[in-house]
Amino acid sequence: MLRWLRRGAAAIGAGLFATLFVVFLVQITARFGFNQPLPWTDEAAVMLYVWVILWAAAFVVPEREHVMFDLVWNAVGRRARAAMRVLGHALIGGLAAWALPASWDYVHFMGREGTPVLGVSFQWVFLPFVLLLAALVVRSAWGIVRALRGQDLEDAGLPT
Amino acid sequence: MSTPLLALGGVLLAGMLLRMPIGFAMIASGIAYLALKRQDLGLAAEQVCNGLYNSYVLLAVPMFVFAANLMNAGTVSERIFDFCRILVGRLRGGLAQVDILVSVIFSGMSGSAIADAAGPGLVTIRQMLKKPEYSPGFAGAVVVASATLGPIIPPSIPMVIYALVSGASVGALFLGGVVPGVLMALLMMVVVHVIATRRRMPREPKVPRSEWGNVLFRGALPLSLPIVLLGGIYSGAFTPTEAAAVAALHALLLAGVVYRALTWRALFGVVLESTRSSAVITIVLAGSFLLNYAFTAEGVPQAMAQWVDTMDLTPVQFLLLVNVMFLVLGCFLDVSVLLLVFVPMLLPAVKVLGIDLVHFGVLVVLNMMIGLIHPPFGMLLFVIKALTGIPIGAMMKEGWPFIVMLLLLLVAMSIFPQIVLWLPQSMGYGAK
Repeated sequence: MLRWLRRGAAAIGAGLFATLFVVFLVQITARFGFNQPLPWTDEAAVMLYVWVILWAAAFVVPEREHVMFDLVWNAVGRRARAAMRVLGHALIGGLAAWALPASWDYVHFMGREGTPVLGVSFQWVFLPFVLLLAALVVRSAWGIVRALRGQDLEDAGLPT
Repeated sequence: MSTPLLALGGVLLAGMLLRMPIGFAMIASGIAYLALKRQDLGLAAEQVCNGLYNSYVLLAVPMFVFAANLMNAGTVSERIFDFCRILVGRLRGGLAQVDILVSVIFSGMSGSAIADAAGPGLVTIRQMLKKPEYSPGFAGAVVVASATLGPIIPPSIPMVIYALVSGASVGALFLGGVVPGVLMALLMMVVVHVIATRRRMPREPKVPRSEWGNVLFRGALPLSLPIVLLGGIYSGAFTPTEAAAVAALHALLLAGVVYRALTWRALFGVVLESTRSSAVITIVLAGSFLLNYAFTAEGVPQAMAQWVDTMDLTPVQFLLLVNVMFLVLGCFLDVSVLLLVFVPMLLPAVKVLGIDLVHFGVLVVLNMMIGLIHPPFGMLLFVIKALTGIPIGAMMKEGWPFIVMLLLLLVAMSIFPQIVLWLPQSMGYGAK
């Protein structure tokens, strides 16, 4: 179940990215091929970009791939690492949870305005930020559970 | 310092020391700041979302990442390698010289040092490790050093981000990186030559003349791209963002159609990988929007400018001081954090002292590259260690001549802005 969710999230992320690339190709072809710049491509590209980045950060990128500072982690034993994970997740997840209602209010409020050309409600454009905060809350809770069970405490694989 | 600002610093520091992702720690610290300031927490959403939505130039980043990943998946690196082997393989320490030249060419298409190390760097490292004359430490050091050319020679992902932060022109920044990049490559070749002669490293065998035509033709194809890119951006035909998409299309056609080295399945993998690395780069940026909001609200950059003003520095002294700060801070912080948080604080001072923003930008990027190759945060060292297993200590032992050389060049560029500014100015930058 979890695996399918993860795959689905990755496929959506990759699909958004591929669409972003295609929008650029359409824009360039229209401008240089037909000498007729399209009004909507810039806007569509920026919207897709906001989605790609925040969606991928929330649901696609595994934690170990993020930019992290691991000097302390590498210097301490398993018990200290478990404590680090509980504290760190409580800090990030707690603050994300705190900001979640107000962030949703803001994004919902922005629904009254549409983008200039396509008229897409900003509620939809900015929604992934709320999803990111929600994902941080859930991920942090899950991370604390796993740390208490003694999981995820190995030397991290470094970003490749 | 105000309490909210202290809370921000505290959460950020705690998050980093506890090994949380730095981008998320930045967002959390921004939330802590807003909470203690009793401001609407929805400002967090506003700053991050509008920051991303209004930064059109940033769209170049995912496209350059995509282009580099496509070239690595599409054996473009191997073709460039064969091409360069004909050109410089007959020198002593031929493989190391080939590596530097490969990096120069690859840098003209990619703007990321990590992609350079993981792609063409890995190709040459494998060849060097087959020959006992090249010690693993030396092989790793050469590849790590030459990978720093990636973001100096245009295109360049850090320069795009700097352009966003500072308002400098992307085209002028790209041109400003050309001369320093060529100088770096030449100096690296000199360093390799001295070491190779002393250690009697081997030359590469001759490639039969009959094979030259084909190898040179296939290797020269990727070379057409940098010219199109720079010409296009600088003449104003493309925006930097469109140029990045053109670079990705060029790489896709080369890998998929010309070299036929890309299956649909591999293409999906490349797209997914590009999505992930773009998110990793950009989420730190998203966090920095919040931090910079807080710093601006507290007047930190202005305070820095005033402080610099009271020290009565000349521009050169200021630049040298910045270089030292980068070296020291680079031991504690990732270079992307330095670019996004530290550089915006310095910019008012840069303007007060009348330093050219393009000159400063290229210096900043070179400083970042040096930060990528010295411990403890030298990301390039980690990448090569993860890919090849060469210990970081061994690379450091062989790497110091390259670091010394880069530092000397950095000092020279700080004192003589013309090294950076000559090319953009002769193409019309800054003309009034």
